[in-house]
Amino acid sequence: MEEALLSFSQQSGIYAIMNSRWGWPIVESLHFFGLSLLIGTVGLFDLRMLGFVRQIPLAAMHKLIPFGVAGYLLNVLTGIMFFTSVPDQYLYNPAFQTKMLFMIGAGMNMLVFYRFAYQEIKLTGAGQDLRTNTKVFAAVSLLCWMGVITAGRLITFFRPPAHYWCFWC
Amino acid sequence: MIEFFAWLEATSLSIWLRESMIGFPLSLVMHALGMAFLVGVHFLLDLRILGIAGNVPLAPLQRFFPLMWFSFFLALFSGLLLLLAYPAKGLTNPVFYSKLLLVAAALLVGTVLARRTVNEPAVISSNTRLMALLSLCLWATVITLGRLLAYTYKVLSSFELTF
Repeated sequence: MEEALLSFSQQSGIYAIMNSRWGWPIVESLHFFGLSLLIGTVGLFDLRMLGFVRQIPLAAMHKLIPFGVAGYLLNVLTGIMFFTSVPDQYLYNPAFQTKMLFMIGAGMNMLVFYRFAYQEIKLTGAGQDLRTNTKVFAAVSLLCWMGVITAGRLITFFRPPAHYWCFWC
Repeated sequence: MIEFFAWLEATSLSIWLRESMIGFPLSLVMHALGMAFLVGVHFLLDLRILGIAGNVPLAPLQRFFPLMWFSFFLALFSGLLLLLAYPAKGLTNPVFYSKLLLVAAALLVGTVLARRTVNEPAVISSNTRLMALLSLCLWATVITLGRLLAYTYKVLSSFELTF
């Protein structure tokens, strides 16, 4: 597994970029730029769903979501650049594993949201509030993305080998 | 200056930040969350001024500013803790002062943008659009300088300055 990921990084030229003088910090900066874009669009959309700043019509605010998706895609790309360049530091890292769980949580929440609640968003104008059931999607989304940031920031502190508190390592 | 750094390093809070299990990681997490929401609110306002999602009313966006200021003070507070853990590391690095200056500039630009859009202008001047672009660039640079702090420091502790 590690060998395959690492050889992908080396053959694609990613490894050379990440090990150049400023490669790693520049890609980290892009990663943080992407997450700020995600929080500024999806995160604040979630807050509007929860009932903050009701003057903004939700249907109109949804037009900002593609920019959150752009930030997300930027972070998938830059994330792959970190992950494949030192795969063993991520695969066996409990903070990284926790981060991936939060990502899966955010992703599944989004799928169910678009399947069952999106119609209500399209009809929600300025001053209007959502049903409590629909607000749960926003709360889960916001908590998952904050979990992603928290666990992501902790990756450096939980480098393998395993830690005493990590019951699954 | 070395004495001042050494005095800060010897305070019990500074020692706790360096030596406890949770002090430093917790400060970093608070800093990351604070920065994400601080920059996120500014990005939202900038993108809207630049013409994205034109049917979102502009004026109510600054109702997110209390959240933005809360995030700013969270980032400031956690930033001070990170600085206190290794005072010589940040205070001997010009990148640190550059970051502070650009944060001040970005907040100033954000305040001007908020003032110019508070009455829901029908037409946004090209000057205002240019300032929104400047705001985006300033925050992106702040993020980059912040990240570079971990790669450009000359010393970690005041002890290294005594040589």
